[in-house]
Amino acid sequence: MIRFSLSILFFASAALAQDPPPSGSAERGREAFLKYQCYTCHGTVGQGGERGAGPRLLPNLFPWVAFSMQTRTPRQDMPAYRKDHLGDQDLADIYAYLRSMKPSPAVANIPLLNFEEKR
Amino acid sequence: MSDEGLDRRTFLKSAAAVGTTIAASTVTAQAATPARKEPSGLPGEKIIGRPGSDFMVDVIKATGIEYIASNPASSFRSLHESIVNYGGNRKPEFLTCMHEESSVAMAHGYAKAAGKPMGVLAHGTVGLQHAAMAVYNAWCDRVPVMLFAGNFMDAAHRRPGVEWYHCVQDPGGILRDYIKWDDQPASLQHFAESVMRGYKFATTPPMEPVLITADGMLQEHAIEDEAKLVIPKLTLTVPPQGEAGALREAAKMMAGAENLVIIADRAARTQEGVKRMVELAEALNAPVVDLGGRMNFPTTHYLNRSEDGRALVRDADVVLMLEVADPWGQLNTISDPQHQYRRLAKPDVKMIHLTLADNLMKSNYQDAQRFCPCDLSISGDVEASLPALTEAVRASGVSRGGRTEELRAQHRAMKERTRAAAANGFDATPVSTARLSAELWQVLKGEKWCLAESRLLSWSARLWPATEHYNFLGHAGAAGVGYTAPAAVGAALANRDKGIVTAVIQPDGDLMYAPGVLWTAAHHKIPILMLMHNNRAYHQEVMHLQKMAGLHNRRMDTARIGTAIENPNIDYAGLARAQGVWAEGPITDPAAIGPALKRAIAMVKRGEPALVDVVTQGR
Repeated sequence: MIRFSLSILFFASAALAQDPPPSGSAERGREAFLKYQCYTCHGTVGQGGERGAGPRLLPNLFPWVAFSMQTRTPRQDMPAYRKDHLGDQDLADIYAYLRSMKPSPAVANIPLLNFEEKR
Repeated sequence: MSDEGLDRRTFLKSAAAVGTTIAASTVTAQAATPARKEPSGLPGEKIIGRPGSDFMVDVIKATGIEYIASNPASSFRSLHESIVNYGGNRKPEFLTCMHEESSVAMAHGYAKAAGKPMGVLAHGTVGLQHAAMAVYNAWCDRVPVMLFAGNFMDAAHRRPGVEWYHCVQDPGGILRDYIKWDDQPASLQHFAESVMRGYKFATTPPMEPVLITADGMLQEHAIEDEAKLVIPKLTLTVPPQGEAGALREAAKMMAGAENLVIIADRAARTQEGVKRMVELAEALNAPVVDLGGRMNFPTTHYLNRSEDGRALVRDADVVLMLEVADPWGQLNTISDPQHQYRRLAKPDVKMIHLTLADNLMKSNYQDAQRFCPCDLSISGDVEASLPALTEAVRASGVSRGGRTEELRAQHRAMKERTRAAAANGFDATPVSTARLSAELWQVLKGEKWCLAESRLLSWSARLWPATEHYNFLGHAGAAGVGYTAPAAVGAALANRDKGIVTAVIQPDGDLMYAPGVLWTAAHHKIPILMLMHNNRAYHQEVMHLQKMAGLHNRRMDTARIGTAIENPNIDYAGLARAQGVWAEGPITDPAAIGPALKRAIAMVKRGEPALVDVVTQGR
């Protein structure tokens, strides 16, 4: 998984300079994110899911090229979203939606996540 | 038949002489033998003052079974009546259920919390058919359940019509692929011996359900020659320890390991088992991956590395598996949906498995999982074998203490990663599943607590500090949907008298299989905190549809057809209230969960069930 992610990032980084993200609408992207069921595995705000669901998308969103590659021809268990059923503009809008997300609060700022350890 | 009848006057006259003494191993007659006279021929005068079902109750009482979960049914009406009137409805107490699947799942959850079986009564045909899936769950989860089925074997006595539909030549045939043993006793003495044998079989590891048929005419006829009936003494079988030489060989293999990992699944049966697991892990200073079939290892211990299983297996040169249901799946994987094989472990990893799985020999159902080659396979009960194994490790002179600080740091890092993951989307609506778990902890952390299902959402096992065997009760076994709610109610019943607060994170689809268990909880005053994980879908199946659509290059936006539970949304709080359960919801604002849970836990601590419905993310 780590090796896969690093290779994706390598190619993505190389491509990034030549291929910036297309423009998209975060508002339309949210609708597309829900319509195309991205949220079922990744959560409505890209937080990821449990046990057999998808990994979190944020923070550290994939660069556009890697994001697009993973969506169209995914590695591992993700279903393939090909152009026939998810247009380029929809994908760009989804990317814009994810980029628009505010970071989640830090653990230290969430009292409910401070569990006491006995040993 | 006719000489079994007593006329009413004679019976009433002799009733004062009824005794209820049961000798340690011999049942004495309960009613003084009345003088018999020729029957008048009027059916209404016939009285059977001492039916066979009374003796059956004596037998069941002698096992220590405290509860019988059941939908009432005519094929065991005599036994039902004897439980209630002759037995005083106490030990066993009759639990009124709304589905045989609920009865068995209640017994399933109860057994894991109580450490002993509950009884279940069902029709020999339609009742067992309803019960079948839940029995399969219990089978796959290695849990003892004492199943009793009513059946009229003698066709000459069956009433025409429905009674024929509800009779069967071979009741056990319905379940035989996934129960350990069954019998259809032909006499009361046979019944007594088979119940004792069945109880011993069910509670000897690997523990499994058993089925005893209570013949309808044996139940309803008068006992003949009761002085000759004997209830055999019940002595439970001591679980088997692995062979000492093999345990020494395992210790030797582990002592020489560079990277050792312990994987435990259904290893600990009691708190003593958890303690023994800690002793072994500390003797080896080896990380433990708890797969969670049972609560095997404290989540707070520095050697707990349950979330790092893949990485630990990848680097391991020796793996010790302790009653692992799917050993092959720990070392290998098959991708989904492409079904591509991938090895996770090193090709030359040495594998030791301490298990009783090889003692279960059934062919049809495939719960054995894929065959996994093993370097040392030891037949033995884990909890019984751990002291000898730990002693062998200590005797081997292994010294792995130098890695302690590194292991502590890795444990802390694992916990920090989990908390960071839980923070993502923490304030989202629908509510994140991590938030759901964190909110529930706030009302449980001051209590002796039990989470009745601990794997469907694994956040609790990952986040909560858990040290006691009763904290986590694992999962359904066979992933048969409809388990969680009734199993949680059964567990809550077992925990009720122990001062343990039982909670469950309740999936919506699971509850809808047999929601009548809410009424059972209310009726029998079973305190349970049910927190709905209401994602308004059979969510696993949504994801499966998406995978197939992707594989077939088809549209994804149809994945909720046939999988979503919406339009209309189900009002779970209303469903609960209609059955006498205190309830609130649906809650969509994360900030509203905490206050609702405080009100709910107050109800639970008063001895009542409570339900809080929260609309959640998919997973």
